[in-house]
Amino acid sequence: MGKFLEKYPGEIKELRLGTEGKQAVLGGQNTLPFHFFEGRPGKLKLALEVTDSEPSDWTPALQEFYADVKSSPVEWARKCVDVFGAEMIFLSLNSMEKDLPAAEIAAGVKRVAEAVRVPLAVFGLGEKEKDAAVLPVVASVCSGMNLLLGPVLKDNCQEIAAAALEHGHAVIAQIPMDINLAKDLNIRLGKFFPLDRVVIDPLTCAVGYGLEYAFSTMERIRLSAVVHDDKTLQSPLIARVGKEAWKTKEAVQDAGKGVLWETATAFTLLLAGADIVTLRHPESLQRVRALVH
Amino acid sequence: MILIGENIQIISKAVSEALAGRQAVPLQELASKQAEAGVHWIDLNIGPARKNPTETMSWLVNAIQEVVDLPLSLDTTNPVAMEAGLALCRRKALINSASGAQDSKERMLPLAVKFNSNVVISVLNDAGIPSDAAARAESIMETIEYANNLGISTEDIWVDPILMPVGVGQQDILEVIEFVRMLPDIAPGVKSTIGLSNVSNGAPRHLRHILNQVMMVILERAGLYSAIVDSFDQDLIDLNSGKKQEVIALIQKVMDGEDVDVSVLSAVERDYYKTARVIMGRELYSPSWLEI
Repeated sequence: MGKFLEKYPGEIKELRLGTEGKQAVLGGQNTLPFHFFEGRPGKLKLALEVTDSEPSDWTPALQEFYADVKSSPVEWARKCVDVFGAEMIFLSLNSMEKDLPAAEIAAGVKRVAEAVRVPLAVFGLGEKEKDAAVLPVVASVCSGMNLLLGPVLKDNCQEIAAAALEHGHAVIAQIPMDINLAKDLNIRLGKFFPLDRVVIDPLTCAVGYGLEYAFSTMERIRLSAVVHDDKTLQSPLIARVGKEAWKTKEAVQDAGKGVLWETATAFTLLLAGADIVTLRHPESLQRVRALVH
Repeated sequence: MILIGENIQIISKAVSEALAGRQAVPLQELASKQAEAGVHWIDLNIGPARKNPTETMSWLVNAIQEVVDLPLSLDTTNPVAMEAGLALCRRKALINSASGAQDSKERMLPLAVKFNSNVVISVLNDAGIPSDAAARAESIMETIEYANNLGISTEDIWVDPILMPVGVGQQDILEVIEFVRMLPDIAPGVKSTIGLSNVSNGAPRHLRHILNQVMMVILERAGLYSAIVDSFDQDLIDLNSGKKQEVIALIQKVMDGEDVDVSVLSAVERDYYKTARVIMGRELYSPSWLEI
């Protein structure tokens, strides 16, 4: 049997997030997604998304679903972990839109990180100046908590990644759905930041809204890393599914369809190579987990 | 390799303004400087020339022929402008370009017969740009046959495989190399040419030349007859005239998959080595390919 199996030259390094006692590991695979028969599969993380101030732009069905906790990020995050079984919390800093002081935002992040026993990803707005002003403060206030901070863009990677490095956090490197630019950003980061502490976010689309582009980009990044041993791309991948799935017309019209959309998108991208998927509805999380296991 | 200077092109703001204002001097200077740089043909790219096609191309051809004696490659998609220019060329000209698309077959190719000129025929057809070497071959065979039947002789046909930017698809570059290699077998006697600078389209500006140079060396080895190039890339001109043999040898080693001891290379040689690996698809392209 063994002679029929492929051995690949490349591997994704394990990435440890969180602090002593609540550490979690992702990545670590030396084979392609779900090729359990061939090698060591990667450790996946199914994350639920929480916002650090009320998610007024979320679809009403989701706002209703989280009505009891949505005004308290700490309670919300706890419920996601304790009740819904989230393996990771993905905290979107939507309070940055209101231009709150960075120290205040960072203190809120710290409260959430202390409240849950799973690792925390912290995500800014994707605006280079605002993120470069706030995320380094988050890095400093949460020093040593080993968070996953992002997005780091080509134009602000110096500021954010340097702060992340100083305070012991990992980063999410974001590029617009292009394998060549993914490589470019990792080369830039790799000059001062350990690449085994980087997660790549190549952006995501939902089923019916360009998923095939997201799939193809992720698949090619993972093939380059594992099959072609491209050292600059051997990072775990994140697919931010919830946001994309829940803005589709189908999800907005019907929460049941929203769950299906979110589940189908997430599972498809796990097949392409995603190591973290971020979801907004716990039922999607249950369904994806059932498919994966 | 025969070099066709691309620097008189409508996309350049200076050219576009000089052409619109009928200022001959800047365009004549551009032509003379290209001739001095050592290219063998001058390309005159006026774009689609929707306004006054006849008058624009006629004026330009006359202006350029006043100062240089090199043969001209007339570069427009407008058959009316093309015809006007061909009628004035003193030396046997090059139509740049025709293709296998129906409209081009009907309106461009007959001009090559009428004026007994050379003609670039690209692998493009009504279905678009063929995806691999075999599809390119299929497309060009059909168009060459059509052209022969019109009375265009094979040695006047310059086949253009269409080169895509390295950032768009590395595999496609390998298909072009393969196609260039097979061309003498499938169409004995045809010439070939390529828009070389397209390979570096989208790459960082200061790194475009090295991509173009390496691409040229590789395509020359594969058998390409000519290329449309940036005349002011001195290193490219030097490489084409056989200077820098050590660089050419290095690129060819990468092409052949031979082992190269990187530690003994100079910084400049290392850049050529890395670029050759990218062009040959051995290393995934990124805009910072020289920095790893």
